Amino acid sequence: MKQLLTKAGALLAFCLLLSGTAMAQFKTTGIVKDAKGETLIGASIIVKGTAIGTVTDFDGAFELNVPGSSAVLVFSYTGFKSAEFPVSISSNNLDVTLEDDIARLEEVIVTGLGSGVKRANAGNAVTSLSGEELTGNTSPQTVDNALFGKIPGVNISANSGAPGGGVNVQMRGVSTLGAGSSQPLYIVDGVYVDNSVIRNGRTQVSGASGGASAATQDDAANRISDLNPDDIEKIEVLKGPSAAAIYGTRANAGVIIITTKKGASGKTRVSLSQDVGVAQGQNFQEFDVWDAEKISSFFGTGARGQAELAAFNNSGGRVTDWEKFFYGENALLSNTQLSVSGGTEKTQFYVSGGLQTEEGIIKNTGFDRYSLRANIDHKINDRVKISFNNSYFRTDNDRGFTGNQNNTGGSIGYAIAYTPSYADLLPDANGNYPDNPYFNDNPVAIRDLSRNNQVVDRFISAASLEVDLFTKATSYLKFKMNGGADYLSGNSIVYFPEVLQHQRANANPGDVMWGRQDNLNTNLQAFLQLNADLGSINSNTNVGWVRLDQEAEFLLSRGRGLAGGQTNLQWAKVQSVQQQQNQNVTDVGIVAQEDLNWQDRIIVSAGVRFDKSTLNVQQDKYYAFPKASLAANIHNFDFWNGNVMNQLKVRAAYGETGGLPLFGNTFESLTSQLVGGQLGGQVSTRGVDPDLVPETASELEFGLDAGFFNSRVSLEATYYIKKVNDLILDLQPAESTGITAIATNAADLENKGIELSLSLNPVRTTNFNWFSRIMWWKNESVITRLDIPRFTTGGFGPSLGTYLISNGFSPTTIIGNPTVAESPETTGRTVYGDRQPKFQMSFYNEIKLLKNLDFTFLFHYQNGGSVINLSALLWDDGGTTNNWNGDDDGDGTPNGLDRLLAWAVDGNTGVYVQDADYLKLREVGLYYTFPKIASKFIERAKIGVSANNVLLWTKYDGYDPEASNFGTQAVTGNIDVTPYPSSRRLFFHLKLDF
Amino acid sequence: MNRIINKWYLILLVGIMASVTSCEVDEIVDPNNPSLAGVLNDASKAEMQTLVYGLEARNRDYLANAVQMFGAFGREVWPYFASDPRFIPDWLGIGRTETYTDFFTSAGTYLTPYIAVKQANVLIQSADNSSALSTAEKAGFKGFAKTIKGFQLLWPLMQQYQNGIRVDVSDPLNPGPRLSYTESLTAISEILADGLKDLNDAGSTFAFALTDGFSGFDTPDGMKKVNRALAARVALYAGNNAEALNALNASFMDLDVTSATSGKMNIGPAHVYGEAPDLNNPLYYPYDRPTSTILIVHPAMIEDALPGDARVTNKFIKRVANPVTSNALKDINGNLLVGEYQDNRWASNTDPVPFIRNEELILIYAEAKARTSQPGDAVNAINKVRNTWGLPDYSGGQSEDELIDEILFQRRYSLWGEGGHRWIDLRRTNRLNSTYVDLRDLGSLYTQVSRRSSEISWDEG
Repeated sequence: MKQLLTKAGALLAFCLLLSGTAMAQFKTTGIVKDAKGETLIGASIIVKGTAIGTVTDFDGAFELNVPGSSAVLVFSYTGFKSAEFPVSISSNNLDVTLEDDIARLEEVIVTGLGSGVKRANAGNAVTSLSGEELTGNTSPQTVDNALFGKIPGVNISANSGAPGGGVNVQMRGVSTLGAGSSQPLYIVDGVYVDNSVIRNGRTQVSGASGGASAATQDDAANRISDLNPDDIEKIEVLKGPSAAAIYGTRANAGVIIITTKKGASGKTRVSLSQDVGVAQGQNFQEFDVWDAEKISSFFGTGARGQAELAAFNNSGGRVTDWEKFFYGENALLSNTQLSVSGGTEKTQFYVSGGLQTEEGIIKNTGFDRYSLRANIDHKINDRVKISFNNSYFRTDNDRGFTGNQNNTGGSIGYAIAYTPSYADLLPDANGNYPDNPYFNDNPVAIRDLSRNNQVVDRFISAASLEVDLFTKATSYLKFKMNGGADYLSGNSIVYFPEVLQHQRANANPGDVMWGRQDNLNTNLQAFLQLNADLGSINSNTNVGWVRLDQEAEFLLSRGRGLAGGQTNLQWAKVQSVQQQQNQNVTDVGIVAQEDLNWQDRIIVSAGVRFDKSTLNVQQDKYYAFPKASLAANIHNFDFWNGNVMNQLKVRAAYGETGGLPLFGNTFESLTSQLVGGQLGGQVSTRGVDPDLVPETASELEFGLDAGFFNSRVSLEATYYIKKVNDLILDLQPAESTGITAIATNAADLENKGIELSLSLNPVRTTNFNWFSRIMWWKNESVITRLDIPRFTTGGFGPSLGTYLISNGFSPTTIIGNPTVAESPETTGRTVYGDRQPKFQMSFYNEIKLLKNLDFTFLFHYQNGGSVINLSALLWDDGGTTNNWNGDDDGDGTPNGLDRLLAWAVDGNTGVYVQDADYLKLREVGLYYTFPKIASKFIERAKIGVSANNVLLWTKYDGYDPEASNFGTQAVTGNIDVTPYPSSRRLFFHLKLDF
Repeated sequence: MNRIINKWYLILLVGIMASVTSCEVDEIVDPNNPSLAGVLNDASKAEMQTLVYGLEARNRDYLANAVQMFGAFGREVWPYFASDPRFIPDWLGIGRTETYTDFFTSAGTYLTPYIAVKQANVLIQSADNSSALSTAEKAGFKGFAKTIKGFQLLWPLMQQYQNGIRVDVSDPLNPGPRLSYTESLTAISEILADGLKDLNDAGSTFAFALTDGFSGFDTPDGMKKVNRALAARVALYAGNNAEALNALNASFMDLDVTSATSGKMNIGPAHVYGEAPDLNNPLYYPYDRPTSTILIVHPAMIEDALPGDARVTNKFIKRVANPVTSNALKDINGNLLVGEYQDNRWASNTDPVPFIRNEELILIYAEAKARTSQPGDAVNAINKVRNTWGLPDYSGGQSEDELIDEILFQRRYSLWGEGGHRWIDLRRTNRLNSTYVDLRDLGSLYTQVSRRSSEISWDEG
C-alpha cells in the first residue's frame, strides 16, 4: 500500500509541474436565475466538450475564460434542467434562466466507478437525496436515521431507541443469510468507509449472552453514525446488483454513495445554524397498578404474598411509575453547525465545524458529535484538477443499560418488568442504594452508578486527481485517480461498580470491560475514460483498477474484583483479555465499462468487474461481475407527441455482485483456553468447505418512468427480481460430531419487489407551491434452493420464537411452538409471521407559501411484518403489563397469567409474536425565511420548528415495533427485549447566512 | 509542445496503471490463531501438549449442565435461575410431561461433551500423524484421549438414554449409526478398553504433562486406574456386575476409609478451575448473597436426611438472610416454594471438582456385590460410607432390593450434585417415580431428553 501511495504522489508531483499551455481565449460573464427570478448560487457552467468551467457565486454571477473565439456553455444546477447557450468574443454576456426540473431528470447519477449519467438516461432506478432532503426538514441524529421513508425498496429499522444510532438498512430484501454483510457498502467521497459495529462487551458484563444466537447483545451503534449529516451534499443509493455491479464483490447488499459539500467560487459565504430541541420517550406501556388484590393474585396468599402485602402497606402510599421515572427525562438536544465556503475560479473551499450534543431520555445517556471538515478543490491548470476532502469526527456515546441481561439485573427495562410500583429503590441520604428484592439489581443504582460509554475518533480523507489527457471537438480522454483513508479509533468502557447488588453476589465484585479498536481502510482507484462521438452515437469507455485494504485491531480487556470506585484494570483482582482480534483484508479489482448513447433516445451500457479478495477461500481467484442496461426514451423519438405525456422511458438492467464471507469464517483454527494455569488449544466447532465460493447476487430490473404535464406529474415504477446464489450457510452436521457448523455454499434465494414513486406538483404559483410524493414498495423473499437440512436460527430458541430457513419459505419466517406433527417443512413448528413487512409507503408533502414559508411533512407506513415481543413476555411474567390483573375473558384467571400460561403450558409461542404495523409521522417542519434583511451583515435568516418521529400509531404492545435485541442482523432481527425506548424529537431552528 | 506533453502523460499513466494492477496480494492466514491443519498433519511435541490441555479444558465443560439439569430432573436441586423464565417450568416439567426437540439449555450435556470427544479424536489423529513422537509416546497420548473420550460419551448417553447415541463421530460429514442404549454402553466400554491397551503400551511416563487435577494419575499407570474407575461405572450401568468388580480391582478404589480418613473419599481425578481467562468453578455461589439466580438444594435433601449425617452439613448451608423464591415455583396451595439451602462444598470459585471419586467406587462395589448375591461385602461397603459420615451401621434387610434401596439412599447423599446421579440411578433401577422423588413442585419426571434436531435432520438427509 505504501508503495502505491508513493506512486500516486509521484504522479501528482508530475502533474503539478505541468503548466497550462497558452492559447487564445476570451472572458464571458453573466448571471443565472430561476424561473421566479431568484438568483441561483453554485450553478455550474462548463464549456461544452471540455472540462473548463466554473460555478456561480453568491449573487448568481459567473465569470469564465473560454478558449478559442466561440463556444457553447452548458449550464446546470441541481433541481433544474440544464441548458446550453452559445457565446463568442462579441456576445460574451449572458442572462440565463434555468427551468425547474421537477422530476430531476437532469441530475447526474452514478452508474460506474469513473462516470455518471443523467437520470433521464439511466437504465436503473437510482434514488438520490439532496442534503436538503436529508436534513432540511428536521435534525436527524445520524445519517441512516435521516433515510426513513425516503427511499423506495429499502427497509430501515432502528435496533433500539438508544441515542447515537444503531440502524439496520436492508435494500431490496434479503442479501445474505448472515455469512456476508447485510448492510450496504458506504462510500464517502470515493472512500470505502467503515460501518462496522464495535463490540463493547456489554453482552458479557450484563450476562446477556446465550440463547440460540451467537450474536452479541451489546446494543452498539453502527459506525456510519460518526458522519455529520449536515456535511452531506447528496446521497445516491444503488439498491441492487443491477445498479451496483460495478462495485463488485462487496455490493450484494447495495451501495450508498455519499458526496459532501463543496465550495463555490465567488463571495465567501458563512452559514451558521443552531437547532435546540427536546427528546421525549413515547408510547409508554402504563404499567399495571399494584393493590392488595393484585398482590394476592400475583404473589399468592402464602408467606410471600403476606410479606408483599406488608411491604405494600408499609410503603405509605408511595407509588412510582417506573417507566416515567426512568424514561421520562426531557432530554436536551442541541446542534450547532458553522460553515464557511467560497473560493476563486481556480480554488474552492468548504470548511465546516459541527457540534451536536444530545441527551437521552434515560439519565446518564446521550450522544455528542464533534466534526470538522475541509473540502478543497483546485485546478492546477485547464487540464489538471485535484481535490482533497478531509474530515475529523469525534463521537461520544453513552447508551446505558437496557435490553437483555442474565443474572445481573444489568438492564433497566428488564429490571422494571419485575419491580412493582411500591418497591423502594431510591438511595438514602448517604447515597446508599437499597437492594432490589424483586430482581438481581436495583435499576436506579444501575442507571446512576454504571457506565456504558464509547468514544470514537475518526479521520476520513479523500484525494482525487483528474487529468484531461486530450480534448478534441468530438472526443476526450481523461485520467482519474482517487483514493483515501478512513481511520477509526474507538475506546469503550462498560463498568459495573463493586457496590452494586448483583456484583456483591459475585466472588469478585466490580466488573469493567475496556474496548480498544483501531481500524484503517485505505483504497485507491485509477481510471481512464474515453469519450467519443461516433456519428450520432456517443461512446463513453471506462477502464480502471481498484484496490481496498482493511486493517483492524481489536482488544477487549476485562477486570473483575475492582478496588472501590476504581476502573483501571490494574486495580482489578482478576485481569483478563476477553478478546483480541486482528484482521487484514485486501481486495483487488479490474473494471471495464462501455456506455453508448444514441441521441438520448436509446442508451446502452455494459460493464464487467473482476474481483479477488483475501476473504475468499480461493484468495487469488478473480470472480467476474457483469452488468448491462438499456434505457429507451420514447419521448425523444420524432414520432412522439408529448403534449400531455412529456416523458416516457422504459428501462431494463441486469447486474451481478458478490458478497464476501466475514473475516475468520474461512479459517479452521484452534482457540486458546486456560485450564488450571496451563494453556490449552481447543479444536473449534466450525469447519470450512474447501470449495467455498463467495455469495453472488444477480438482479434483473425493469422500469418505466413517465412524466405528464411538463413533469408536474411523474411516475417511476420498477420491478425487480434479485436472486442471491451460493448463500454461505453453516451446514450443521449431526452435533454428535462435535462440529456444529461447516461453512458451505448451500442455498439460493429470490427477492421480488415493486417500487413505485409518484410525484405531484398540483399547485405551482409564485405564492403557493405544493409538491407531494407518494412512495410504495414491497419485497417478497423466498428460499429457492437449500442443500442442507432445514433449520431454525436466531433469537432464543423455538419456545421464544426463532427463524426458519426452509426451501419454499421466506428466510425471515418466524416460527415457534407448539409442534405441528404434520409439518416437517417447518421443522415441525408453527409459523407465526414474517419479519419483512407486506409493503411500506411514505407520503411526503412540501408546501411553500408566499415564498417565505415552508411546510413539510413525511408520513411513513408499514403494513405487516412481525416482531418477537419478549418485552411483553417479561412484563407478563413480572406482573407489570397494563391491566395484568384484569379478567377480560371472565375465566377467573388474570389476563397476564392467561397469556403466560398459554405460552408456557399450552406452549403457544404465538402469544408473544405480534404485528409490527405502524404509521409514523417521521418528519414535520415549518420554516420561515425572512425577506431580505436590511442588514449588511446578515444575508439571510431562517427560523423554524420541526419534529422527528413525533407521532406513532401502532397496535404493537411495546415501545416501538422497530427493535432488534441482537443488533443489526441479516435475518434474525425484530426481537424485542425491553429495549431503550424510542423518542420523539422536537426542535427549534435558527439559520443565518452572512 | 502540447502533443509531446500528451504523450508523456500517456506513457506515465499507462506505466502506473500497469504497475499497480500487477500488484500481488499476499495470502492472508489467520492472524489470531494456530491452524487446525498444522497439528493434524504433523504436530510437534509442544503442539501435542497444547491439544492435551485443550482436552482437559473441554473435559470439564459438561459439568454445570449435568449438575443443574440432571440434578433438577432427579430433584437433587431446584434451579432458581431468574435469568430465563424457562429454567423452572421446562426443567422441572411444570405444565409438561415430556421434553421437546432441542430442549431448553440441554446442549451442555449433549453437544458440549461431543465437542470434547472431537478434541480427543483430533488428539488421537494428531498423535498418529506426528513424526515427533515414538510409538510409546503416541500410545500415551492415545490412551489418555480414549479414556476421556469414553467418559465424555457417557454424558450424551445419560441424557438420551433409550434414544441411544452415535459413538463413531470422527468424520463430521459421515458419522456412524445411532446405537441403542445398551450398544452404546458396550461401545463406550470398548473405547475404554482400547485406551487401557494403549496405556499398557505407553511405558512408564507420559510425553506430556497434565494439570493438577490429575495429580497422582499423571503416569500411564495412574491413568489406567482412572480408566478402570470409569469402566466400573459403565459396567454398573450396563448391569455387568462381574466386569464392574474386575474394573474396580484395577482402579484407585480404596475401601480402607474411616471418619478419621474421610478425605480418602475424595480421591480421584478432578476438573480444575481458575480466575479468568480460566473458567470459574461453575458450582460455586458466594454464601447468602441477595440474588435471584442460584442453584438451590431441594428441601427433601434436608428433610430426608438421617440425623447426624455429616454430608448434610458438609454439602448444604442455609441461606439465613436471603432465601429465594420464584413466581414459577409454587406448591399445591399456590404458595411460593422457598429455596433455603445452597451448595456448601466449595470454598472459592477456583476449587477443583473431582469427576469420579473413591466414594462412588465404594458404592459401585457395594451395588455390584449386592447384585451378585454377596450381601455381606455389600453391607460392609455400605457401612464404610455410613461410618465415615457419622452414621451407624446399616441395620435393614439383606434382600437385593432392600440393599439397592439403601445403596441408592447413600448414593443420593454421597454423590449429590455430582452430575445427576440420583436421576440416572433411579432410572436404571426402575425407581424413577413419585415414591422416590419429591414432586411438591407439581412438576413431572422426565425419563430422557428428546433427540436434537441436528441429529434428526441429518438422519432424514
